[in-house]
Amino acid sequence: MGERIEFAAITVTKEMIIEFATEFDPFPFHLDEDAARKSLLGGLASSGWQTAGLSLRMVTDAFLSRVASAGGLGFSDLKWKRPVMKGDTISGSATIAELRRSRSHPQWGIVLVDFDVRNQKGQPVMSMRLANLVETRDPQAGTMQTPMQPYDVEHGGGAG
Amino acid sequence: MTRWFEDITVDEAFPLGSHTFEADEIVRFARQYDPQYFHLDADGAAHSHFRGLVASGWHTVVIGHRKMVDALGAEEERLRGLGQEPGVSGPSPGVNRMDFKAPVRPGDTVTYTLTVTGKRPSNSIPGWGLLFNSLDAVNQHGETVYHAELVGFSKLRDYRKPLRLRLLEALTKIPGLGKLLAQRS
Repeated sequence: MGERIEFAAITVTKEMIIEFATEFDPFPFHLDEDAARKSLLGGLASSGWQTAGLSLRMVTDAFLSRVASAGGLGFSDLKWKRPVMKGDTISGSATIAELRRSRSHPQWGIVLVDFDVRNQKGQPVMSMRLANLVETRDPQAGTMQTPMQPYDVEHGGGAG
Repeated sequence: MTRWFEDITVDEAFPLGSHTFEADEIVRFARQYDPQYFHLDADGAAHSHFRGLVASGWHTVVIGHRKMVDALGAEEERLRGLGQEPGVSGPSPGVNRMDFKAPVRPGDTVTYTLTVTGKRPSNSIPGWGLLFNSLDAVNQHGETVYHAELVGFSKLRDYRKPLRLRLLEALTKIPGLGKLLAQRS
């Protein structure tokens, strides 16, 4: 709990923005510089879902791939705070906000991870709370008052 | 929404269409954004509690988003065909909830439905409204694979700028004065 995981940085290029938008988010303001300038975004910016996907990738590399992840349950309070413009470099951190044993499936633990994604100027671009299942070391211990930490992760290491 | 903010009826459901997920696209998405073994490799995934390859929940979500963008585009063309001016959708400020309820496996067909559950003018961006949308994704067995509560911007048709804002804009157009105002604010 309270443990912080630092993300490796990713630079979002114009090509990446257009490639993602063509497949998943073909609004004109994600595909065309002119349309983007005239939109609320004020210039070519990544799809919010691309920013979210890249953030997921960053947390998978830095954290989920090192724990016995058993799949995602969803997320809440996803906020796109600022557009990620072409050429921006995003990075950030995740904090373990809550850790508990699943009530319906006591062989699993539920970890809640708070994301704080920022651009190269340190401005927040996205935040959310991810809920993920993790396998527990001792599946029989479901009745324990305080569950053991069902994950094993190095401190503060970026994905590199 | 391609309807203007003012014309949108709350609680009306919009079918967005269906998508059948194939193994190769599940793996391709996972390699880029969610490289966990049960999204990447059928043999490895067979040993997971999913007992087989499953799509990243995020993949099912971005496909849902794509279906929405396509549905809006089609509706926009239809309205233009009728000689009407369609409404304008803006970017989204966020997602309140997203619950992955059942895994999506290769060959599954997911059908997406959008429902506007509420609307109000934006406090932060004058001239725009906020739409509160529910998105339900259901597989061919009728099981919900995810339920989402999304927020989107939609342009107001009947918006008239407040006098104060129009005055300020007029002032910033006077040469020299605009710069001065910008420095002071």
